[in-house]
Amino acid sequence: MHAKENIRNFSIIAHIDHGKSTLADRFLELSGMVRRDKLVAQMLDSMDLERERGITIKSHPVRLEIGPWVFNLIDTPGHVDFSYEVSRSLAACEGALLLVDATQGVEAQTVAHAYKAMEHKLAIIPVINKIDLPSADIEGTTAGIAQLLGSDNVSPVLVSAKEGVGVEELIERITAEIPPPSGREDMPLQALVFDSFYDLYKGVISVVRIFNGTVRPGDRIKFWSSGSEYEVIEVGYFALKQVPVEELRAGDVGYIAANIRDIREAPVGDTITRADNPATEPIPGFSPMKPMVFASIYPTVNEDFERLREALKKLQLNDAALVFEPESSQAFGPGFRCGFLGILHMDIVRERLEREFDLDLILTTPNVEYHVLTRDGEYLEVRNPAEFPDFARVEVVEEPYVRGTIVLPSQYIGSVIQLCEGRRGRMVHMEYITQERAVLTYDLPFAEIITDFYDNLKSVTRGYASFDYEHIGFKEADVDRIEVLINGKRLDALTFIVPSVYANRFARQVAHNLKNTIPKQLVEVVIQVKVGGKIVARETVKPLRKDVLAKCYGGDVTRKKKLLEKQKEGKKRMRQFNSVDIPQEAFLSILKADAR
Amino acid sequence: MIGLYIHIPFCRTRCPFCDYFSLSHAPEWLQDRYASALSKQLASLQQTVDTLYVGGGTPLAIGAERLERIIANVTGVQEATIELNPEDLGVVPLNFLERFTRLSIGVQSFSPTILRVLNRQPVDEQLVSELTRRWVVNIDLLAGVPGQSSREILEDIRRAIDLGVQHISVYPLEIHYGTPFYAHYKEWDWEEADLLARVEDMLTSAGYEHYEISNYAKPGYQCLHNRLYWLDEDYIAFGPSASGHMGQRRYKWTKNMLKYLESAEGGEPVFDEYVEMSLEESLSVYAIMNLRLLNEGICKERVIAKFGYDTWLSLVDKAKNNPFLTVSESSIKVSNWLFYNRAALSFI
Ligand SMILES: Nc1nc2c(ncn2[C@@H]2O[C@H](COP(=O)(O)OP(=O)(O)OP(=O)(O)O)[C@@H](O)[C@H]2O)c(=O)[nH]1
Ligand code: SF4
Repeated sequence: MHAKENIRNFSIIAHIDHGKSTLADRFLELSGMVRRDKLVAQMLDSMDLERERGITIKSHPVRLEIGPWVFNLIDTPGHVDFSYEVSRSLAACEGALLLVDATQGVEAQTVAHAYKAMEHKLAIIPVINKIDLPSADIEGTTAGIAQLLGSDNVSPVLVSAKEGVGVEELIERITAEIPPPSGREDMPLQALVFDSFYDLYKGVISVVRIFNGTVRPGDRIKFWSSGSEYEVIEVGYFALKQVPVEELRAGDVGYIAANIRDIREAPVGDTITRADNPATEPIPGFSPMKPMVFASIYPTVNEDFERLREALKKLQLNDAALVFEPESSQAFGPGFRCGFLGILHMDIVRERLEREFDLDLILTTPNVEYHVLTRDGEYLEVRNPAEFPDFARVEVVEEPYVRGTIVLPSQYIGSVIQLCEGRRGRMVHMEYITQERAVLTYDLPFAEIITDFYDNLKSVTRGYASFDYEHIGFKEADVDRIEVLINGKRLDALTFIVPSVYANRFARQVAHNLKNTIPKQLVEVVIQVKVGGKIVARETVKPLRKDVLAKCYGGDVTRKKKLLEKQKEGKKRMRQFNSVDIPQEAFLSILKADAR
Repeated sequence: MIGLYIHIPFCRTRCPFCDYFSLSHAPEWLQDRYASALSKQLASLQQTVDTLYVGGGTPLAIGAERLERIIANVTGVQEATIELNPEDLGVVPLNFLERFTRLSIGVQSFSPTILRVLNRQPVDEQLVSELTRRWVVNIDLLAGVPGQSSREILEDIRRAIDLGVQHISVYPLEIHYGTPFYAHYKEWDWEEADLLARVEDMLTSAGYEHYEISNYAKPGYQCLHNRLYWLDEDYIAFGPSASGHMGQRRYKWTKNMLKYLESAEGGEPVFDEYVEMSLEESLSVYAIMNLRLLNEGICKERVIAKFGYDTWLSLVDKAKNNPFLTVSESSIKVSNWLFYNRAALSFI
């Protein structure tokens, strides 16, 4: 093993498409390893979905040997849903490369991640990429970085990751400016888990940074948060694949496998220590990953319930953030109430369930968690609007807030402020990075973010704004409950909590959208929408008076049969509620109800 | 019984509501080539047939001479129908019509306003009335044309009755995707079920039998050829997009005129669809077609003769819990023709 002095642990902080992967490729080449695309193909086979969507959520750290140096390049997740993991990844480093595209300048993710890196007191090396492009604005980008780092004298490394220009200099700067890891081998083991995944043979693979002590196969280790103990079966580091070694020592980045069968037993952010000779302190900053967005998933046919359960269990093996519990809805029958880190996480789970497990699913409108204090002093965490207590009993409701960072061309400031204010946002800070670019910081209810905030932001700024956020806890909320009655009976799956300011408009929109998606039935369908117990909107679907294919001659036979087949298929996909057939589109139409 | 359907996919102009396959303003050479190709195809037909139906399009759009050539070899049928458009009447030579026993006229409406919406010619009522003396005459009427009032629809029905035609077909207008009507009237939602019931009342009081969902006939004047479709019997078809049925086999010719011509002129036959149906599929089609015959329905005797007793039992089993079906000792029928689809779903 290399001496600790020659090890450098760092991350690359970059906004999407600023060239993180391309720069990593250059490092790999210099270390004599194959190109990263091959590496990715080998290591992340199961994640095609992420790659298809053009977001690598995360790849494993890579150990690169370049000359006398050992670089542990630690990836940070590229999407805000996984920002807790960003923080943990940065905690495993001594330094960070702040990579900025010279043609784009500083963006929201750059800002958000740079602040995190500063919080962790990392050595930050600014790097300006894509200098080969004619539109590269080195001066402006440098000014933006200076503003961001709060120093007028930054000297960014100028590189073209694509052409390999400046990479040698970057390596020199890394070795000179990022300190080697500190920590002592003769102290009790302290290893930070900053990522984990499931391996069929070795169980949970905990990706770790060793801060103190050593660990080797046969050691008994203990997880700080749960106290559970395991025997290590293998330790190693990541190159092209997992490379087992005899021992990991203070300063190393690698993995520990201990035949753990439940990924939640080895949570990201936790500290591993020795069972027989434990450290006195954990590495600070651990908080269990908490789901922030909740929705119910139902199979379209009840018979698939067990298959859905199995599929969720399989996904959970690799996804500690996914939680689910069975529930039963009047409208949809048995299903699961699920918790996700964010909307992207939810989408990925849904898509994997449908693709990899061939399930046909209904997903309800996602909502956030509410904290409710009742008049009689009871405290409730409500994750399902249908379980919200009667408003007459409610003393205080709190909802989760995020602090959003928006980087945008200054000409759009007005419209973005308008957008944020319309979403119940409160401005925290506004700052110009350069004359043309500004950073807006807003505190916003998370519930506003999980609808179409981002789409709207993109449209009011013609795609030129970037957005990132972090959760900042709960604040008091003024909300109402919206309930839907179909022919007088409440449909539980259509219960929402919405801000009082637009509850009435939202209710009318819901009624209208339902009217347009519920097909005519043999009986009249009366849709009523209540806000806080009062009916504020009513629509009716007139009864069906005929249902007949009139014209049917020779040639039509197969075509008409197909029409009938479609009708039958459609009927199968509908849910019967209170003798009314409700199609899936009716539920989806609620997602499109926008009252603002 | 075996039917023969000949499709003439030409029209003088295209009507804005129509989604049938047909060509307007086709050049003479194409019409000639089509007539030759079809007569060649028909000449090689071995089977004798019991009914003939020449439909379109507008058969007479290619002229009586070409039609003569096409059907020259078809003889000895019990019933021969040709579809006519109002503008054909008075122009077509009567001796050509002598080849047929039945004339089906696409009147659609007698109201000048509605005809304008439909972009169709009015029919010479006097002439129609005269034709009924020599031929069995059917007229097609549309209900639910955008802008058409209930009064206008009932008035059309009354005039049809007054003409003394033996057969009347009434269709609610369907607005099909891809037609000019779709662009204009896609939101048009005609739900006058009560009016359709009044139409039925009027026609049955005037002595017409409501024998199929959209078809009314004086006793003894049901269309034999169309009955073959509804009874799910065999029929041969020629022409682009035309469909035929022989035993378990169903086919639909290509819609592509040139490909069709090549195959009719001796090339490989080109089908858009060619299936050998399983017994189950055949039975499903059999059931949904027979249900269209309102007074006969799925007839126990015929089912037993064609499929056996167990099949009858299985059909009864499927029909049992559907309130839109009425099961009796001898048949399964739709309870209310306005809900035919709901009835048919039991057999899908
Ligand atoms: N001209 C030029 N293009 C570059 C350079 N570096 C990267 N690119 C291009 O920029 C695009 C984005 O580069 P990636 O390396 O995939 O960016 P990334 O930050 O890893 O992107 P995500 O994985 O989406 O976060 C690619 O099309 C690269 O080819 C550079 O130095 N010059
Ligand atoms: S309605 Fe008849 S005449 Fe009009 S386009 Fe259609 S087939 Fe041709």
